Amino acid sequence: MDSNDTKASGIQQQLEAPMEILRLEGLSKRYGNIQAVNGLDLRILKGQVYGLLGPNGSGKTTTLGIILGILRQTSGNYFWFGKPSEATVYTRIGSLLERPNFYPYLSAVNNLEIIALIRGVYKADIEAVLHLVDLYPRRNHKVQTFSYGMKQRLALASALLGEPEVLILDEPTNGLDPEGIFEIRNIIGKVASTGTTVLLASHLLDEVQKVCTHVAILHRGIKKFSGPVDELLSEGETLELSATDLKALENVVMKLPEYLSHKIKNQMIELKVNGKTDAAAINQFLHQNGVSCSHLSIHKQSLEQNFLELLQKSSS
Amino acid sequence: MKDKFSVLVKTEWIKTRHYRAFQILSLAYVVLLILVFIGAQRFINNITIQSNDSSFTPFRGLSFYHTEYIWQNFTYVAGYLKIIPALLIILLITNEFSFLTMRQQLISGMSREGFLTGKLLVISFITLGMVILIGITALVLGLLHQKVDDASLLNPGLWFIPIHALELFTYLIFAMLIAFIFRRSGIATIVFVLYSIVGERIINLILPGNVGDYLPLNAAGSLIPLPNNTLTSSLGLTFRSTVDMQTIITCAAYCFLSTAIIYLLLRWRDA
Repeated sequence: MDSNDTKASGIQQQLEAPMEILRLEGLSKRYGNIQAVNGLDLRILKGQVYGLLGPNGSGKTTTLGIILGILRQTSGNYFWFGKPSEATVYTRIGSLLERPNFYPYLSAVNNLEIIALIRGVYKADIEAVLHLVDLYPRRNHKVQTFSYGMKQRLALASALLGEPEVLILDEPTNGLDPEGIFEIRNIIGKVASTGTTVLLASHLLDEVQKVCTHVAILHRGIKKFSGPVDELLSEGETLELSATDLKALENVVMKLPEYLSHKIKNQMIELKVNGKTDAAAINQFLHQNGVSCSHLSIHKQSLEQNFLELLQKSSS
Repeated sequence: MKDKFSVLVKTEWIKTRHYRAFQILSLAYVVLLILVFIGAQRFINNITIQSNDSSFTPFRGLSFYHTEYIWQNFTYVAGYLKIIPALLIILLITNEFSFLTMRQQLISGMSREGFLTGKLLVISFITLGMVILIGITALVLGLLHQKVDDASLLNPGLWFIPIHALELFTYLIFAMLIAFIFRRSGIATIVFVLYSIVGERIINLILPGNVGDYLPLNAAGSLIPLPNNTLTSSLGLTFRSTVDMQTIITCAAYCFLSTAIIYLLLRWRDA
């Protein structure tokens, strides 16, 4: 391979590698004696729908506040699109932080006009986003006459103005009725399907499991997990096994190279293994060791169960 | 640059023009200013002096609209009404904190410098609007009351108009500083009013010599000297008839210093 080929392959790799959207390096924030965020590292690539999970007070909103430039980090740094942050970068990012922030005495349109002017977005976009969040008929009404749910939808509209490359949403379904939650989830899904990178902070695990491809779990400001949702779910996978000779099955199971732990429940062995559970390979191993299974099934934990388990481990 | 400037002007205009307090306070300022300018002559006409036979006779021969003094008279009197735009500035700025709209603008891509520039533009436009109003009112009332042998209205006294602009600007920037420090409209208003009414006087008493003259509101308030006209002369008082250059420099320095402090507050505090 000559140097031109090497160069071409390097360029090809660069073209194929997903672009880095956000990188956090040892990000920390302290409020007096309280360590809100502690040495957080995170990397978000283009097109990922990243969930930021954690109980109340885990540092989700503080982290978002820092990366959105409204809170100053105590230490560490963050990089948007590979560069240290500057104000103009936020015109490429749509965000909804904590709660809707609008001038109550202005109409929905006037409030969006201000955001549109700052972001350099055409006025026509305002109508489009108002239609999207179903607030077009109320466009000329003052925001002070809106319900919390309507304000939340208007905030989502402001975040979507100008088709941003990144969408950051902090508890976007707060204060919404079930129908509103469903609509917002649909909108996020639609936006994500266009390749927009989404960072979604929530304590609603079901919401995150339905929408996100990747997840980071924070607890007391410390990252406990980050990676694909599937990887987190596979960590909580168990294999349910039974055989006529349960004792023999138990002895063989413990010899599995990926063996982690097991327990016997209702004449059934619940097995946990390292990494992703490969039921076929395990079955073959048991067979080779002279044990035939009468029952073999993978039991997946929900994100919620995994999350709670992770928090329990971290607390203990 | 031109685009950024136009964005700031447009956003501030949207925020301000629909704000009820802006509409009410602006109207109040205009009405009060015109009433004071018209009423001042009536007040002067009602002044009587004690004559030799102990009877009170009307004080004659003094016109508030005399072409020689009109600019100083009007700008001096208008100085008493500057608390109205100051309160408006406090409300406009503290609103950004109580509605959390400043953080919304920052996360939408506005820089902290842009935000501060926007507020400086609001102060500049309010100042400009007010001095234009004073100028037009003085011109109209001056022309209406001008006598044949009076000097031209376009006399060196016009210099008091830009000086009044500096007075207003200094005062409003100081109000903006208080608003940025305290962030809550109630607290900022109370602090500003208390400071302007009693605070500076107390500090003035404590400070040695004439150091108190260089306090921000004292300096702004003394930019335009009390008009040295027939009435004040007859009361035996001595006055400066010129603008003190040292006071102009002091006010300009306060404008710069307050803006710098606000910039540092914006830069180092969480939004």
